This record gives sequence, structure tokens and C-alpha cells, in this order.
Amino acid sequence: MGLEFQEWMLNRHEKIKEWKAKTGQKCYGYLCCMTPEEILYAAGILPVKVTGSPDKLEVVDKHVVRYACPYVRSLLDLAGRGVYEYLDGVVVCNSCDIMSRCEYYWRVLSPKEKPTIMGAELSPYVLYIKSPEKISGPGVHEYLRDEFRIFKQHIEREARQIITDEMLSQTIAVYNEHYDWLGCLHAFRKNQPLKVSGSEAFMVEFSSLQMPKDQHNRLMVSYMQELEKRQPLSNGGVRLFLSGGAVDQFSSRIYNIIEECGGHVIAEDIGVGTSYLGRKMDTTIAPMDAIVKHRLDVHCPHTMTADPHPRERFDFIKSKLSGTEIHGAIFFIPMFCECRNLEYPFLKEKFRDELNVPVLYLESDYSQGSLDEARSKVEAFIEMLKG
Amino acid sequence: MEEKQAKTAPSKKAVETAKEVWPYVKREYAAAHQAKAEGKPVVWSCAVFPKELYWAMDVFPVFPEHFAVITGMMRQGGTKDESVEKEAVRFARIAESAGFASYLCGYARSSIGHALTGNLADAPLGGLPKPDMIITTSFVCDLRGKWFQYLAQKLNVPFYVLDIPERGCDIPYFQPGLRTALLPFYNKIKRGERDLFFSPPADHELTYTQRQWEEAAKFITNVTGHKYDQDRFNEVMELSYRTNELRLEILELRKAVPAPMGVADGLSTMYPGLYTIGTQRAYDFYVKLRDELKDRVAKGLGIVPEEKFRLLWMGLAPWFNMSLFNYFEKYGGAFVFEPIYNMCPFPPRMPENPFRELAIRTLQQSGGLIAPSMIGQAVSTIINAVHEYKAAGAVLFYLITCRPVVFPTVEIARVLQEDFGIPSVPLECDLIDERTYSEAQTFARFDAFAEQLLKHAV
Repeated sequence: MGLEFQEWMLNRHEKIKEWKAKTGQKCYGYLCCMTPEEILYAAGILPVKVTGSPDKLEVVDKHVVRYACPYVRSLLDLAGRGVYEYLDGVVVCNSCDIMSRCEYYWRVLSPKEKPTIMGAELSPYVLYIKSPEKISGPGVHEYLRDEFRIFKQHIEREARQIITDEMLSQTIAVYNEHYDWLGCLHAFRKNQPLKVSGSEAFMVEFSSLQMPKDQHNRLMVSYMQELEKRQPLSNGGVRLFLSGGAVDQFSSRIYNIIEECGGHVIAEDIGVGTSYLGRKMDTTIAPMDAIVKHRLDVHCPHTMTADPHPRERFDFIKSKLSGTEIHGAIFFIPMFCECRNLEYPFLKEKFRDELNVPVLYLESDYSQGSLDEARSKVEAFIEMLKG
Repeated sequence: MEEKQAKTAPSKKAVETAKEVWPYVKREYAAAHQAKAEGKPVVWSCAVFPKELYWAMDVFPVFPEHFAVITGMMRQGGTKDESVEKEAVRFARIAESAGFASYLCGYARSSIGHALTGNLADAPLGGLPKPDMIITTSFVCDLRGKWFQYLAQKLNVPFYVLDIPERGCDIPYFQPGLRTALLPFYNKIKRGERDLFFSPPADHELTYTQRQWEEAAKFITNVTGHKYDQDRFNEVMELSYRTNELRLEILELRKAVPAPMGVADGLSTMYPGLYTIGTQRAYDFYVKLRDELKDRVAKGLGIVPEEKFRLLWMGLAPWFNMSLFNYFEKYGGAFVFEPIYNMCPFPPRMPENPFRELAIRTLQQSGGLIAPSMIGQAVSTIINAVHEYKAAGAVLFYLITCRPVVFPTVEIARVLQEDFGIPSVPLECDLIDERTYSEAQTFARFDAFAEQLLKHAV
């Protein structure tokens, strides 16, 4: 069962191409979870998360300065080399300074002709959503709903069909089932003794970012049955919280390193999947409003609130840890990730003062080398925690 | 980062009015301290962001970004002793030891380090008076939100962020058909319509931005008790509009050959307009500057005796060593223009709804004309500036600690060279943290660049 998840994680390009060939349907890549992927799904388009790879960079230096996030440079390099040629569209959000510029970079590095009328693209190959930086306060919901409405119109032109409320509601039901399953999975991670490792949970979750959610839901039925019967993994591992960016099929090796050093990641805030989008969508309001509300629940390092005395990121992280205990926290932050670095000193103090746990800071340049360097620091940190 | 002890100095100004900026700055800081002492509310806020609401609601604004500039120029105790490091470096070290990365903006590190000392007064010009509130914006970069939020958390004062849609309109400059379609017409587009070039804001963007401004006024009232008065706001907006018209006149005058005013003057004289727009003193300053430039143009006075080549500067300024803007003068090179901190045309006045007017202006600015940062906008802004100001080459500030400034550099260099045959040279360092600066590398690059341009000029 786990093998199918693993396939979708490690051979994602081939699996998606196979899926496209089999179904004849389209596939859009997205760079950030602020993307309303439900709109794509409702239109029969497969939304997939675009990520990087540790390959040597070949083409990106000609366009993107080296003082930029190594993860984004890597995924743009893949785009420039045609690795993402199978995508029928790409969705960029205003998720941080470099991400918002990917509308330009992607078009430059991976241009694709689309039908035009009077010089304007009918539905642009690269779609940009000006997601707000502020996720609460007057007017925010309405603004984002309008952004999503415009996005929906583009997708309708692409798909040559109207996306009705009914189609969105059906999609929301599929996504809510998905969140239910992942909620069950994460509950297992908090229990003692552990039945599922952080690396395995990541693999299950990451694969859901690449495959159709209904297919993932079906796999989860038998996977969870298997998990129920499974023997506990180990006792006494050091329980850790992981916070970091640019965690994907490659850099998630940090989970394995932590496990090999005697630790377990029992919860995380890593910018993908349920580390942000864990909560179910509201089915009592209009489906578009439910999608907007769901995205405005995302407390990522880029977002801010209307609170005049903000500490919301810490409260959000704390909510991930409710009902469980941790011995320490690891911050695994990509170089040049200003949003994450800027909040680190405040969060470090809060972990120390309010949760009474020490923190390890690891800087990553999204390479095997920085993972190797991380290993000795993680080892020492876990030894220190073991006392 | 590599630590270097380089020779640094202020720039030499060509324009007399530019020499009045430093006394102007000192008066502003003294006035801020005076206001605080008198119990007037003080707000810490940011550059490249309208200031009119503050004056209209009778709160005194001061600016951590500008104060960081001061720390990049001055040493502890005001000494000129070069063995004493600049205040920016002292403060940056404090921030770095608290966990802030050295790749973060020098302004942010200096300002955070200053706040973390616990003694705001122990700094040049008496430091910054303690704020009663902090107001920032999401516009320009990610840092200005999170850095000011951290300051608010540390200083325990109320915080407001004015969110502005991060408008892209970022179609690659060289998309087939687009450049040839637009570039030849660019100079024919009237100033007030130039935002069309970058696409006008959509209704929902305007509505959202207007709401953000209205909420800002409510926030100020909640903190200070000062009420919003539309008539007073209109008075300030009117003065602001007239001041901007003067600045646009100045931009036109600067196109003259020989250049009547250089980048050293431009980066200095932006201060009143950037930080005190909406005041009579800012208006008076630009009247004087405009008049002086008119006179210089009439007399054919340039910033160098014989202009052999004209240069464009792209980026913010290396404040710790402004003498770099005089470097090419020995070759007859003149830095003629810097497409930063200069105002785009304001939208027509809307006295019946000044918040709407402000929303339009804010979105125009975020469209890239005042601080071009999105890649397509930056590339087209620089290309048009090169043509309008008749520059033979450009020096591009690879501001290694500022993502929005450094991101477009590679594309600008590439498009300038490949499509227009205009060469450029990089300067790589921080704005105020001189530890990131290599004098030998910079001079070697600049000398080679000057020789290249001179050959071309002959």
C-alpha cells in the first residue's frame, strides 16, 4: 500500500504523465497551497504541487540571481529544462517575494504558446493570484473571493465549461474526506507508542499533492486499516516539532535523518499539505466562500493579521501541538527565506518561554551537502535532549 | 560575510539645494524628539508609502528605514575615526546574535539591533523617539511587514499593516510582439496615463486598498483619540499633489544634456519628498530645487566639466559610501538618473473621496513606477529610463540583501545588452552594512566599465 504512495512521491513526473495519457485530462502545476486547487479539480483538471530537485542547475542562472531561494531556483531550473513540459498551466500566488515573481520567471524559462485573441491569451499559461498578505480584517474575504472568481473564469475558459456551485460542493466533499483521512493519520503520530514515523506520514501526504484526491482517498481506506493492525514502531524516541520551508520529496530526507539519529517528528509546520490545510472546509456556506475561508485560515510565514498585538504564528503552531508533548523543535530554513528567518527569533523565544523546549536552527541550501551537514547537528541536539 | 575595512565617504553634490538636505534631516529628527517630549503621538512607519494621513491626523511619523541610513553613515559618538565601525554594523551584529540572518536587509538588521539595545537614545541624532504605534505595509517587500511586526512585538506597541495587492502585470518584456508593440509608443503616452502601460488596477483591488486606508485612519483614532477630518486631509493631499508636480518638473529638467543634477544629488534630495510629503517645508524645498535646476539648464551647467558618457543607476543606494557616485567623474562619466524614489504622476485630486484617491495612487506606485520591483516592470522601467535620460550604460546594484532589488538585475543586464546593446556593471553589497563591500572588486569593475564606455564614446 505504502508503495503506491511512494511511487507518486518519487516518480511523480512519470505517474502524472501516465495519468494524463490514461484519462486524457489536463494537469496544472501550482507553487503554493494558497492556490484554490478545488476549482481546478472541479473542472476535471489535476492540480499538482511543483517542487524542485537536487540536480545540478543548468539554465536558471541566466535569469535568476543566485541571491534567491535555492528551492525556487531549483524548480525554475526544472521548468527551464522542460521537465514540467507536461503541465497545461501553472498557478503562481503572492506567497513571498520570489514566488510572486515566478509568473515572470516561469514564462521566460518555460514559454508555452496558448491560443490568443487580439494578442491576449484566452487563458494564460501562467496564472497569477494576488493573494493578500493579510488574512484577517475587513474586506479581506471579499477581496480574495474576487481574486478566486477571476481565477475561476480563466479555468472555465480553459476547460470550456462553467464550474457550477454543485461541482464545487462535490469537490469540497472529496477534499473534506481527504482532510479526514489525514487527520486520522496525524492522530496516530501523536499517540504513544508511535505507529507511524514522520517520514512515512510525509510520504503519504506528499503523494496526495500529486495524485487525484479521490484516488488518494481510496488508497487511504486500506492504508488506515493496515495502520490499525500495525505493531508500534518504537518507544522512547525524542519527540520533535519540525518547522521549515521548501520541504519536498528531496529535502524531506531531513525526516529520515532525524529518525536515524533517534528522534521522531510528531508534528510540523512545513508549508505543504495539512501542516496548513488540515481543517475541513465549511459546508454550510456557499462553496466559493468555503474555499476562501479555508485559505484565509492558512497562517504561513508570509501572512499577517489585523491583530494589533500579533503573535498569531506562535498560536497557530501551538495548535498543532495540542494534546501532545514535544522535547524540542527543529527549524529547517532555506537560505534567503526571509519570512521564515524573520519570525524565527520571536518563535524561538516562545518555544523556550512558553513551551519550555530548546530549539535547533538549521540553514539549508537545498542540497545533499546541507543535509549531510545537518546530520551531525541533529545528532548532537538529540543527544543533548536525551540528557 | 567577509569583513573588509574600505575607505568610505559621503558624495560630493553638484547642486546647491542638495547641500541643504542634511540640515533638513536634522531638523526633522529634532522635531520628532520635540513632538514626543510634548506628548504628541509618534508613529514608526515606512518609506515609499504615503505620509499624508499622519500629518492630517496630527501624529509625527519617523522612519526606521531612514534611521538605518543614518546608522550606515555615522559612527558611534559621531566620531570620524575610521577604526570605529559604523553604527549600522554595531546594530547589525546585535540583530544577528539574536538569530536574524546576515542575508536579511541591512536596514532591518540595523533597526532591529537598535531596538534590541534597549536604549533607543544611544544612537546618532538621539536615536528614534519611542513609538506609540507602528504602521507598515505589505508593499515593496516581505520584510517590511514582518520586521515592523517584530519591532511592535519587542516594543509592545499597537501594530497595523496596510495590505496592498502585489500587482504583477509582469508579462515578460520580450514576449513576442509585445515589446515592439509597446516600446516605440512609450514616450508618446502622456504622463498621467502611464499606468496604462502597467495595466490599471481592477475594481476589487481599489476597493480593498481603499478599505485598508480607511482602517488605518480608524486604527490611528483608536490609539491616539485623534479624529479623522476630511477637510484637513484634503489640505495635506492638495499640498502633496502640488509638491509631486514639482518633482515631475524636476524629472523633466534632469533629462537635459549636460546633466544638471546627478544621482548623488537625486538620492539626497529625495528625502523631503519621500518622508515629509504633504508639508509646506517639502513643497518649499522642491520649489528651490526646481528653480536652481532651471537655472543650471539655462546656463548649460553639468555635473562634470565635460560629459563623455552618461550612466543610469539602478537600485537603492550604498549609503555607507556615497562617494561611489562621483567615481566615474575622473573619466568624464556622469551618473544622470536613478529610477527609484522618484514619483510617478499622481491621479487627479478627488476631494470628495480622498481615500479613493490615495488607493489609486498606492496601487499605481505598486505598479512599479516609484520602486520598480516586479521583474517585467523593472526591466521596462530601466529600459525606458536609459532611453529618456540618454544613458550609455547602467550600474546595477546587486543589493545582495534585498530580494526585490536584486531579483530583476540579471534580467535587466541581459535585456539591456542583448536587445539594446547597452552594457552594465554590477555593484554587489548591502545598503549600509559595509562588511559586505569589496573596494578592490568594485574599483576594478568600474575602471574596466569606464574604459569600455570611453572606447564606445570615441
